[in-house]
Amino acid sequence: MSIEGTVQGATPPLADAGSPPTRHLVARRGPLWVGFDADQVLEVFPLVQLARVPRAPAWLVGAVQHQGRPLPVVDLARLAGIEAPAEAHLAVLLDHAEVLLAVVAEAVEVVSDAEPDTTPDAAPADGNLPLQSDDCARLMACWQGAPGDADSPLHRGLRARNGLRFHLLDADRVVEIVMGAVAPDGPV
Amino acid sequence: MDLSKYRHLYVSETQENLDNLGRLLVELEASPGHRAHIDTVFRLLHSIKGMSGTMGYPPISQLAHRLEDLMSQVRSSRVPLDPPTIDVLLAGVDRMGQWVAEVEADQPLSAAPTDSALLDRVGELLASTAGAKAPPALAPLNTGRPRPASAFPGLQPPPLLLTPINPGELMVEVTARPECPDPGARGFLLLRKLAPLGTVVDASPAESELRAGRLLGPLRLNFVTPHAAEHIAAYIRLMPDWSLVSVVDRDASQVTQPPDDFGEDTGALVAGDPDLLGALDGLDFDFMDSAEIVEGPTPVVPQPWTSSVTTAPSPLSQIPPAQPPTRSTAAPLSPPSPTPVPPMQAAPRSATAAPFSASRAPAAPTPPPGARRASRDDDEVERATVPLPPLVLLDASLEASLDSGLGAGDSMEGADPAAAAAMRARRVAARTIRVRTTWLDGLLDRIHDLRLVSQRLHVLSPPVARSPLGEAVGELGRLLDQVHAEALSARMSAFSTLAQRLPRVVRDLARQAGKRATMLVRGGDELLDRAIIEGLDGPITHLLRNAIDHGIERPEARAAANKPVTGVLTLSCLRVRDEIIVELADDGRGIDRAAVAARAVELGMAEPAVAAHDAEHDLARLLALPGLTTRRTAGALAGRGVGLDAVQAELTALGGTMAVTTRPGQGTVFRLHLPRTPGITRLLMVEADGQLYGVAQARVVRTVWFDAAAVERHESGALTVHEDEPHRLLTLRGLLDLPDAPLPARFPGVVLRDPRGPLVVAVDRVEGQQEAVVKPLGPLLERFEGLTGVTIGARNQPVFVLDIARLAGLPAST
Repeated sequence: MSIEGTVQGATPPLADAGSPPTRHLVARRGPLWVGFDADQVLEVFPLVQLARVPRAPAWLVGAVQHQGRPLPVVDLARLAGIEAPAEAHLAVLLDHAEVLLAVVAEAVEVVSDAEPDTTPDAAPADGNLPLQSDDCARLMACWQGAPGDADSPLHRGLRARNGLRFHLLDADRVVEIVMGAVAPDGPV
Repeated sequence: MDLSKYRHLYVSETQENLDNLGRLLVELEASPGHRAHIDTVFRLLHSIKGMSGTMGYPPISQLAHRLEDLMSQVRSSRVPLDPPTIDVLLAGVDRMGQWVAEVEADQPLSAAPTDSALLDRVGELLASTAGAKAPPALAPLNTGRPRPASAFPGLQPPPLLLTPINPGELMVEVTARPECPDPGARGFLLLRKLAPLGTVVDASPAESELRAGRLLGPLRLNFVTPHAAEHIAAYIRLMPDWSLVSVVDRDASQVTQPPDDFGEDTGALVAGDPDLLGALDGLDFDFMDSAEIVEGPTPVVPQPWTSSVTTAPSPLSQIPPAQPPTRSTAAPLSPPSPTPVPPMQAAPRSATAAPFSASRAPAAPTPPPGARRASRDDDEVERATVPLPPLVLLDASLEASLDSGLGAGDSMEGADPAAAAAMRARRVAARTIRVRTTWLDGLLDRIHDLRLVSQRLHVLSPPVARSPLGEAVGELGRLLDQVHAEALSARMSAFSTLAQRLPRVVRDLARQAGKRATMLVRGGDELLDRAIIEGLDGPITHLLRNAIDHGIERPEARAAANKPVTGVLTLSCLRVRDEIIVELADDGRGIDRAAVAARAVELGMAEPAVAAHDAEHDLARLLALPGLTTRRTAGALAGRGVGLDAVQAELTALGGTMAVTTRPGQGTVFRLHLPRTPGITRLLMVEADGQLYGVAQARVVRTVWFDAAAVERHESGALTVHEDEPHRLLTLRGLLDLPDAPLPARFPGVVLRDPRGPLVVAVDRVEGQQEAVVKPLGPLLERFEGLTGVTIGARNQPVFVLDIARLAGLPAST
C-alpha cells in the first residue's frame, strides 16, 4: 500500500495487536526513508491547518489539532540537518506513552516482511535511498548521542523489500530525541 | 469479599480525616481545653481505626488504636494535652498519612524504624497517666461465643416494646449514628436488607413511617429468621448507619454492643454465614468505620437458635475512677448511670417504653457541663440515644430540592431551629456522593471539546439571520454553556480544603525556625475550582515558608519592637467578579526593598536603574528573579534563591499573577490574582503573518488604531503616543520572530498592561474577543517560552495563547 501526499482523509490506525512483527510503516521525507514498526504508529493523516509554533526551530514545522489537543509535527530530516523539500502533506503519529508527536512525510508505505539490508554502499535501483550518503551520515551523526541503549537503539538497522530500502527507527527513541532537542539545556 | 473497590473511598475519607486531625490538634495546642475538639479527635481516630481494620491495613489500624487510647485518657483528663502529647499525636497523624499515601499508590505498607519509637512514646504517655493507672488493653474482642446472661450481673431482660416476641423471633433494636444522614430512610433500607434473611413481623416505627423519613429514636423490630441472633447482629453492625445494635431472642438477657467493641469476630460471624456474606455487597460503605470483615471460610459454627449476641462490658468501664492529673480541674469520673430512657416525643409507642438496654446503654439525658463520662463506650451510647428533636418544616428552597421528603403534615412548629438546620444538613448530605476527580476532569475536558466544536459550527453556519441551522447552533452553544457551568460547579471545593492543613504547616515551620507564629484563615467557605486549589498548594506553602523564615521575627525581636511575640499570618480568600484573590499577610519585619534591589544588582540580575524601579513599583517581579536571595547562606526553610520564581511560574500556569506590598516593620502582603474558572479565558484574537494568536483579555487595556507617522524610533526602541502618553511600541511579528513587514500608515495596536510602562504591540489585524477554552500545551510545546496555552480556532487550527510580557522579556503584569 502506498499513500502519497495527495491522499484524502486519514488512514485507519495501523497499530494492531495482531500485526506481524515485521510489518513496518515507511515514511519518505526528502532523500530520507525511515520506517517504524507498525505497532509504534497510531495513525497517518493529511496535514491540514498547520499552525506555526512561535519561536520554534525549523524542524518543528508546526502543530495541528488532534482530538482537541495541539499535536506538534516534526521534520526529522531538518532535525538531522538534511535538505528536504518544503512541501509535505502527511503526518505520521507515533505511539508514545506520554508525548503526542507526529513526523512529517511526503509519502508513506506499508511494508511487510522487510529483510535486513546488508548491501554495502549500494546505490538503490529506484534511487529512493542513497545508502551511506552524506545525508545519512549526517543523520547518524546527529543522532549518535541520542538516548538509547544496546537493547533498544534508535537506529535498528537497514531494511529492504522489493527495492525499497529504509532506516528502521525506534519511535520511542525518536520522541526522546525530539524532547531532548527542546530541552532547556539544548539539543541532543 | 473484595474490598479493593473501596480503596479509593477509604483513601479519600481517611486523608480527609487526617487533615482534620492535623488542623484540630494544632488548634488544641493553643486551646487544650476545647472539649468538642478533643471529642472530635477521638472520634476521627476511632473512624480511622475502624476503616483501616476493615480494609485490612493493620499498621494504620493499630496506630490509630493506640492514639485513640491516648485520646481516651486525654478525654478523661488522665493525660494532659500538652505539647509533648500533641507532638506524639501529630507524629502519628503524619505516619498514618504516609501509610495512606502508600495505600493510594497500591504499595505495601512500609515499616520504619521510627514506628516502634512512636508506639513506645504513646505507651510512655499512657504509662505516665496520673494515679499510675495505665489504660487497659482493648476490651477482649468478641469471640463469637455467646456468654451466659449471668456474666452480666445487673442485666435485666429487655422490655418488650412491640408485640411480645414469640419463640423463634428476635427482637432487634438499632439506633442511628448521629452523623447518619437520613435515619428514617436508612431504617427503611435496613428492613429491605433484612428481608432476604427473614420476616419482619413488627416494626416501630412502622415501615410506612420509615419510608417517609421518620425515625427519631431507636428502631425496633421483631424478626423471624433462621439465622443466629449473633449473626444478624453482626450483619447489621456492618451497616455503617447504626451505632447501637442489639439483637436478643425471647429468653435471652438484653445485650447491647456499641461500635467501639467491634472486633475481628464481627466479620468472622458474617463470613461464616453464606447468606449474610452474600448480602454484604449490597451494603453502603460511606460511614463504614467500625466493622472488621474477615475473608474466607472462617470456622464459625452456627449457634443454636437460642443464642444471642453478647459482649463483655469494656474493661474501661470497670476501672475505678482514677485520680485526675494534677493539672486537671475536671470532675471525677462517674459510673455508668442506669437512668432510663426518657420518653421520646415523636417516637410512636416509645412514650411508655422502658429502656431497651439497661446497663450498657443508659441513654441518660445529656450530662451537665463538666460531667465526666464513664467510658468511651458509654459515650457512644449517650450520643446514640439522645432523643432527636422533632422535625420542622424545611424552607421552601430546600424543600423544593429534596425528593420524597416530608409531607405537609410534618410541620413541626416551634422546633429548635438549630436542630432543624442539622436535619437539613443531614438530608442534603444524603444527596451527595463522592466522585473521582479524574472522572470530573475527563468530563470537563469533553465538555471543552464540545464547546470547541460548537464554536466551529457557529463560525461555519451560514451568516443568514434566523437560519434554522444558525438557531440550532446557537441553542447548542447555550446548552453547552449551561452544562459547562454545572460541570465546573461540581469541581468546586471550599478554600478551607486547602487552608485547613496550613496551620499545622505554620506550626511546624515556626518551631523549626525557633519562632512563634499562628495562622488565621478567612474566606474558607469560598468555593474554588479544584484545579486552583490544587495549583495553589505549592505556591502558598512556599509563601508561608518565606514568611516565617524572612518575615516573622524571633520572639525576642518582636518583643523589643513592641509586637506580640507570636507572629500572625493571615490567609484570605475573596472572590471579586470573575477573579479570585488569595492574600497572605504577615505582621513581620517587611521586605527591605533597597536590599533586594542591591542584591539583584550584585548578582548581575538587573541593571541598577531597573532594580531600583522594580523595587518601588514591581517588587514581585524583582523577588521572582530566578536565584535571587538576600541571604548569604541558605537557611533550613529558605534562602537558596529557589522559590518565588517557582511560585510565579505556578501562578502563571494557573492563569494568575502575583503582587507584593510591604511596609517596613509592619509586614508583607502577597496578593495572588487567579481566574475563577481556569481553562476558560476571554481572549483577544490578533493576527500576525496570516496566523491567529490569542492574548488574555485581562492583560489588554484596549485596542487602538495608530498612525505610523507618529512612531518615533530611538536607540532603545520605538515609541508611539496614546492618550498623550508615550508608549513603547513592539510588533507582534518581531516578538514571534516572524518575517518583518513595514508598518502601514495606520496599524492596529494592542495597549497592554505592563508594570514597566505603557506598551503597545502592533499587530496585522485584530479579529476580536472571544471566550475560549484554553488547553495545556503538552509536554513538548510547553517548553517554548511565551506560550501559556492553546485553543482551537474556527477553522480547526491550533491558536496559541501568548504571554506578551514574557515574549517581550518583560515581567508578568500584576
